[in-house]
Amino acid sequence: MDTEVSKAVSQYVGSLNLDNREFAFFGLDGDNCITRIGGSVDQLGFSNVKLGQTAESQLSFLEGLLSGDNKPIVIPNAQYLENRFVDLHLFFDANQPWLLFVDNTEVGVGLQKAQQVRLDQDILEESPQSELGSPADDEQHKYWIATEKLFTAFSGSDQDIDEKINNILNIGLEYFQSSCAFLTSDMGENFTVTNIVGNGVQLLEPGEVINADIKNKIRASAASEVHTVNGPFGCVCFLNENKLAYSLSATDEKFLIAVSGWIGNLLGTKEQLEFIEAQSANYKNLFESVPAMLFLCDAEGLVISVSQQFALQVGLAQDEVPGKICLQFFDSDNHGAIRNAISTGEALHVAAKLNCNHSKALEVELNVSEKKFGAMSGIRMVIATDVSARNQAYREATEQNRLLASANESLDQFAFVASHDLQEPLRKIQQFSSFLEEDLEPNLDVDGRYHLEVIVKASEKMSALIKDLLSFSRAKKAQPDFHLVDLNNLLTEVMTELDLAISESGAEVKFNALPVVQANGSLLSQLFNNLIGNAIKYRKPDCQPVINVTCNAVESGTQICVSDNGIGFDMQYANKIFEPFSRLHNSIQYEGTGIGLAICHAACEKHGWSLTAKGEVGVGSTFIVELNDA
Amino acid sequence: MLGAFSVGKTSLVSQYVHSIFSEKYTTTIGVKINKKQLEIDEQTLSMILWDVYGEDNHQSVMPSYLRGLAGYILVADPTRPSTIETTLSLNKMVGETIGDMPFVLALNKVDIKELWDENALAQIHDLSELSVGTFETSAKTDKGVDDLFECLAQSLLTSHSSS
Repeated sequence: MDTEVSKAVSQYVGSLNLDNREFAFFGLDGDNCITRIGGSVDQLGFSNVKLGQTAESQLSFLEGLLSGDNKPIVIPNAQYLENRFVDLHLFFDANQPWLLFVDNTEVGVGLQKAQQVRLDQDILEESPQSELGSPADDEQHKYWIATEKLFTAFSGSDQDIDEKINNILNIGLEYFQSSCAFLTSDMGENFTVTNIVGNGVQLLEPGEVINADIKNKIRASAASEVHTVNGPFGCVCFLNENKLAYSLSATDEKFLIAVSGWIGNLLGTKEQLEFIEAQSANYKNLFESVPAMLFLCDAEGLVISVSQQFALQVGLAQDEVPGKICLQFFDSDNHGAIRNAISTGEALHVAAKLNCNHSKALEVELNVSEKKFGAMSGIRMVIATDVSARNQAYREATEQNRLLASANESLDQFAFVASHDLQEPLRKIQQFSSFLEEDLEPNLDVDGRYHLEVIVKASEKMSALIKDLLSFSRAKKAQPDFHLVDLNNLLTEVMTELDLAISESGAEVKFNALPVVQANGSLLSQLFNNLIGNAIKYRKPDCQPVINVTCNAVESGTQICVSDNGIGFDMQYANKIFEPFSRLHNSIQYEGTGIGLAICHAACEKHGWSLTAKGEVGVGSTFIVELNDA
Repeated sequence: MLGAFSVGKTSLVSQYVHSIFSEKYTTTIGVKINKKQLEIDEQTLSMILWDVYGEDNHQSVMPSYLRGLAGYILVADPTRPSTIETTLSLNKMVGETIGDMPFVLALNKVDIKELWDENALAQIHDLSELSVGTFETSAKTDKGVDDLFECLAQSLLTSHSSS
């Protein structure tokens, strides 16, 4: 039963001409307990009504109404609130009662004014002292009665707009005592008849274009222009075959204007409804055919409409989904989060699993937003995005990263162990090569001396490589302690260590006002030793090396820059130079292992800093250490 | 509350529920719904009062307004003989629509009793006999108003207890 309730209301409401009036509805069970609430409950004064309690206990004015047979009734203009007129509808679906409240205040107030005037008149007439009865008073009375009828015709809730227009035309027909009344739509020179009442004139048919000939025959009518909110529509005409022309009094003119006003109002509504209907059809078509999984539901998750894609995923026909509770399509683990999101009306990225009929559950992300469609407010639009592939890719990437980190760690460990364990046999090779050199020196021929020299040099190179590799591994593996380090003092010590190289090259190293930083002194010493050492090593021939170490405040923090006037490098190698064993020059031109800058990079990483380089061939290089001030 | 237009139905309810009377006549559209709690025989009753629009030459009371009624008050204005006829026809309509129900008859505007029409009163005699009580009332002076409603309440309580 619960899944069918929306259909009952929508069918009943659809049969009424609501004219954009606010409405609220309540579904009741067999004990008259409220099981469903919907529509503009706040606007109609029902904000305190709760589910699960009887309707009479909360809305006392219903006392007695709900007992008795299951015959539907309409009670027009019930005033349970001051100055608010509401049409109360009681109807039944499968023996379950429904209450529908439709606001009618605008019409009710107008009707009250008209009725008030008429009844005041009636009271005066009944009075023995009344001086009424003159033709003028009769005309006024007739006017008020007709005006009230116009209100009634306008406010009828069970008629469509054309029926209402015809009723108004009939009221005018009676008022003017004419034989025929009709509407024409404006088509420039000619007119087309759209509504005809009465039978006094046989020359008109609906849809007929009125040409000049017919115009001559009907020119003697009482007529008034009709305007809608969208502009001129045409005319309302009252004909009398027996009279060439009406003699309209001021009151008649007033009534004619009232008639054309009411008709214009109704036609405006009709035009708007037709427009909305066309828009709704377009929207519904768009909504239902959009290649995405989405559905509309109420605040309790009762599905109202659904896209084709969603229906396809859950294995149902598109018209089988409305009326069902949306939770049934999702994994029960997600029900709490989904219920909360739909109840709130605004939620993003709600993770859920959509149970599919023909495959395993789809991982989806739900985005919920609240919408208003015409008089229906509080509608939830739920968009389900398939994130199965994205989640799978994320899981795979996470696993790959984990494996990569593990492999890197093993590699670092291997590099450390290998370089450490290689030192001992290497030392033996160097030592015994030295013994051979000493013992055999006098007896060695040229070839033998050359071969021994190659062994000694290769082992020296290997020793340097192992030493650098160990430094690099230590820098990577280090769990350093951090202290406050004055970079000015540290640079002074580094220069002392590099004293020989500086004096041999004639280099000028300048620095001042460097900051005190939280750092590991040993790693930092290695960093600047390598950077300044490199600046000296890669100097230009016949040019005094000048090295500047400066500190700059930048938007992202503090930069320490080590710049030189050396040979520089091509910027395409700006990243490659930090890779281990990466060299831009061969060892004959510039000796070394290609580990130095990799060690610098690792040292900076340990501090959470970054190290980048800029260079220009033949001009110089700048190495930038960006400190993380935070 | 049933009766012809302008007999004082709304004024009687207003006087009884809110102790207010206005000289200005305001017509009723549809139905005005009020609630009044009262003590009868040490029992608290909630009376839901449906003040239905008055019947006139152009509109009769729709049967849907009678749905669920437990009893009713017929109001007549004896200064206007036509309202007596309306009262009689309304009572007949109630009987045909929902059967015999307890009702109380109010002869309103007793504050201008000198204008009451004697022939009209004679006309309503039989109806008075059928009612559970007939009261001369004035919404203006409050005369008989509480008695009118309490008589109906007492009658409803009695019929409820005996059923």
